[in-house]
Amino acid sequence: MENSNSAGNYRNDSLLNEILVTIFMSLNVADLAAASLVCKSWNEACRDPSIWHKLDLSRLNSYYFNVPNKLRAWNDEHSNKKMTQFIKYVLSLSDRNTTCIIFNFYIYLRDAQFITAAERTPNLKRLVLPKTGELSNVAVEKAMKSWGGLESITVTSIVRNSNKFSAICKYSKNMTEMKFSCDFVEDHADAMIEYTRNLKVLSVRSIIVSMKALCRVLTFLEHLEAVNICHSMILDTTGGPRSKVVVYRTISDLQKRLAPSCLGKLIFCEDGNCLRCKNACDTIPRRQPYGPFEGIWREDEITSLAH
Amino acid sequence: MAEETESTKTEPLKTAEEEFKKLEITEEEESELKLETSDHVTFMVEASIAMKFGAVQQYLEVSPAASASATAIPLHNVASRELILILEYYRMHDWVDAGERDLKEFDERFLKDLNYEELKELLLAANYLNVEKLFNFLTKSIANIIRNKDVEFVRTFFGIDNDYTPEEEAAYREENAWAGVKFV
Repeated sequence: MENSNSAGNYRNDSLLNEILVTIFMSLNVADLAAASLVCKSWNEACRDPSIWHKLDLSRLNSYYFNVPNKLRAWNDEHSNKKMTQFIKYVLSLSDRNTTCIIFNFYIYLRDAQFITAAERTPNLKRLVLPKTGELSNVAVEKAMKSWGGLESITVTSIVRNSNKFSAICKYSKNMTEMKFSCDFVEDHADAMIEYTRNLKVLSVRSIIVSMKALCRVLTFLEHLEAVNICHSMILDTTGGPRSKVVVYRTISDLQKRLAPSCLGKLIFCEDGNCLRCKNACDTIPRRQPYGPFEGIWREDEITSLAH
Repeated sequence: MAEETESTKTEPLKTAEEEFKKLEITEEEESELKLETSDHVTFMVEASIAMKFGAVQQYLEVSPAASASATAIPLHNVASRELILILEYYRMHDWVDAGERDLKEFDERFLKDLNYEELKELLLAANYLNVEKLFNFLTKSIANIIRNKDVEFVRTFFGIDNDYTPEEEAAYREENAWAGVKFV
C-alpha cells in the first residue's frame, strides 16, 4: 500500500514539466513556438525561463519558416509583419527573461521588429544585429533607451551611420564588449570614447579598420584589455586625402606606429596574409552564397563575442 | 590399446561437461536480480541489465544483501507495464548479434508503438530508474519528431488532445498569425 502511495506522489506534473523542458532546450525558437501551441502542459513547459536566456533568431528553419540564405530576405511588408508577430509571440513566452538576442543574419530588420524586441526585453545584456535592415534614428533611440543594461553588442552596417551609432553608445553606459561587422571608422571611435568609457573588449576582425580610429580607442579607452584585429585591413590616411593610403597588414607593420603597451592588447593573425585576411578585405562582396559572410559575423577569437 | 584411448578421450569430455554445468549454475545464481514493481509484480532480471539501472545500483549500495535473489528490490515508481518496455529495450540493445540496422529499426518500432500517455509514463519511469541510455533516446527522439513539424502533426503523432477552449484557441490564433492557418 505504501508503495503505491509514494508512486502516486512521484508521478506529478512538475517532474514531467522538467523533462519536457529538457527536450525543448534542444529545439530552435521556431520549433519551440510551434511546440507551445500543442497543448497547455507543453505551453507551460515552453515558458520555462531557462529556455529563454538566449533568443537565437539566426536558426529559424522549421515547418513555418524557411529563411532564404540571401541578404535582404523578407524585406516585403507581409513577411516583415509575420516576423514582427513572431518576435512578439516568442518574447511573450520568454516573459522578460531574455538577456541575449541574436537577429537573423539574412532577414531585413525594420523599426517595428526592432522596437517590438526592445519593449519586451528590458533585461537585455547582449545584442547581435543582422547584416541588413533599415532603422530610423528615432527607432534606434527608443530601443536603446529601454536596453539601458546592455553590455555587449555586435554592430553591423545598419547602424554604422554616426548618428545611430552615437545613440547606441549614449544609452549604453555599461557597455563592456563590442564587435564590428561593418567598417570601423573615426566617428565610431569618437562616440565610444565619449560614452562607453568602460569598454573592455573590442573586436574589429575581418573588416576594414581606420588606423586613426584604432589609435584613438587604444589611447583613450583606459579599461580596454583586448582588441581583436585578426584578418583585418588597417588603413592609414593621415597624410591627407591626396597622399597614398598606407596599409598595415602584419604586426611588424603596426610596430612602427603603436606603442608597445598598445601592441600588447592586440589579438592578430600570425600569418597576416592568410586566405581569410585576403577575403576579409574584399570590399565588394559579389560572391555567392553568403555563407562565408555569415561565418565572419558568427565567429570571433574572443569567445564571448562569437555565437 | 584401444581401451586406453577410449578412456583418455571420454575423461576430458566428462570434465568439460561438468564444468559447463557448474558454470551454468553459478551464472544463474549470480546473474539474476529480483525486481518488484509498484504494482507488486516480481521480475527476474539479468544482473548485467539490472545493474544498468541507476536506481538498482543505488539500492544495492545501501543494502548489498539484496543481491542474493531471495529479497526483491522494490521499484516504487515503476509499474510492470513500463518495466517490461524498459527490459525489452535493454535486452535488444544488449544483444551482441544486433546490428546497427536492427537497432535502428527496433528503436523506430519501439517509439511508434507508444501513445503519448505511455510515453509520459515511460519517461517518468526511465527518469526514476535513472536509465540514461533509454532516457536520452526518448528525449532525443521526441525533439527530433517535433523538429520541422506543424502543430497538428505533433498532436496526431503523440495522440495529444488539444485542451484549449474555443475562446483560448481563437486568442491563440490571432496571436500566432505568423503560423498561418496551418496550426489549427
